[in-house]
Amino acid sequence: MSKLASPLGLAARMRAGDTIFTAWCTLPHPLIVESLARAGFNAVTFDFQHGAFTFDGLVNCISAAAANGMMVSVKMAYGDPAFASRVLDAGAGGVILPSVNIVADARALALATKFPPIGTRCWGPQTALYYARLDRNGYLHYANDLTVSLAMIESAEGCEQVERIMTTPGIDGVLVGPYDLSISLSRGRYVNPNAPAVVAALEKVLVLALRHGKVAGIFANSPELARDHARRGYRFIAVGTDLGFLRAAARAALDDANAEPVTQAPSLRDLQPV
Amino acid sequence: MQSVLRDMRSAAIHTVHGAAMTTFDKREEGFEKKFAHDEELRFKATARRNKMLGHWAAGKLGLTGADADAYAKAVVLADFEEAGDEDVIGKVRKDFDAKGVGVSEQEIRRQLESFFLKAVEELKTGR
Repeated sequence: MSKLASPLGLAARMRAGDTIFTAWCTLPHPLIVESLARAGFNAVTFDFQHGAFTFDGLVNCISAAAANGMMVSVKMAYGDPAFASRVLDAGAGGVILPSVNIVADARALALATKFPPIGTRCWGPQTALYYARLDRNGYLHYANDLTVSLAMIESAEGCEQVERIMTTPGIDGVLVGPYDLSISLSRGRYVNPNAPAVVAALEKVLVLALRHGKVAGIFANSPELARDHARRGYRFIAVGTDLGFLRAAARAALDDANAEPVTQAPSLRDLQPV
Repeated sequence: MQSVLRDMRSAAIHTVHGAAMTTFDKREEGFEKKFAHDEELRFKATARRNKMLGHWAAGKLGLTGADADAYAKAVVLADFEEAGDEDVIGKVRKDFDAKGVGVSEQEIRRQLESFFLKAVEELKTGR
C-alpha cells in the first residue's frame, strides 16, 4: 500500500526534486476526489477559475483529499490573489495564481500567501494548523516554506517576464498554461499547446526554473504530454481533468460495448427457457 | 499514537524517579492525559524532535553554522510530506547515502526516539 501523502506534502516533495502528477479537478464533490485517489493519484489540484467550485465545496474536497492521503493545490480565479490566503487556511499545500504577467502580479500573490517578512498573509490557519501538526508559533515559523505559491505563466508578456516573476520573493515556482500561452503567442489565431512557439517557451521557462532552483510546473492535460514534460524536467504536472477522464473512460466503455455490433436481434423463442 | 504514549511514559519515568509509586502513578497518569489531549504539546514535541534530529544529522554531514540550521529546518519540513515518521527518516537516510555517511537506518530511528524523549523533557520543564 502506498503511503498517505499530507495535503501539505507538495513543498517537501518539490524540494526533494520528485516528479508529481496531479489530477485537475473541476467538479466539487468529495467522491470525485476519492475516486481519483483510488485510481492512484496522490496529488489533486482544484480549479477555482474554470471549475464549478464554491468555497464551501472546496473545503469539503480538501477534507476528502486529506482523508485519502493526497497533496492539495488550488488554482485561484483570475485576478484574485487575496483568495489564496483563505485557501491556505483551509489546508491546501499549494496555490496557483492564473495569468501572472508582470512582477506586480507575482508580488500580489506572495503578499497574500507568505507571512512577514516576505508578505502580509493574515493569521487564520483553520484546518491548515491541524494538517501541519504544529503549534501556532511552529506554524508561523515554518508556513512560508511549508506551502508553495506558483505563478501561472500563460501569456507572451508573462514569458518575457518569467525570470523576474519566478525570482520575486515568496514565489516558489511557475506553472505553464500552454493553451492560453498558444493563444497569446499567436495573437489570438489558434489554441494549440504543441505549437512550436509554445514548445520554445516551455524550454525557456524550464531552463530558468532549474537555474534559480524554482519549481517548473505545467498543465499537460494528456498522459502522453505529461510523460514528455516529465522527461524534459518539469516536476509538477497536471495529467488531465476529472471531466476529461470521465469522458475518455465513458467513450472507451461505449466503444468496447459496441465492438461487436448486434447484427440480428434474437427472437422471442430464442429467449424462452427450455 | 501508542508509541507516542509509550515514549511519554518513559519520559515521565525519567523525571519523577524516586517518588512513591502511588504518587508516581498519579503523576504519570495526569501527564499522559494532559499530553494525549493536548495536541499542541504533542505537535511541539514532534517539531522539536525533528529539529534535534536535523542538527544531529547536519553534524554527521559535516555542516556547521547557518548551513546546519538550514539543514535542520529542511528536516522539519520533510515531516509534512506524509503521515508518520518515514518521511523524516527517509530524508536523512537519503542524504546520508548521498554523502556516504555510514550511519544505519536503525541508528536514525534510535536517535529520533531519544530526541522525542528529550523534546518532551524540555517542554515539560519549560525550556
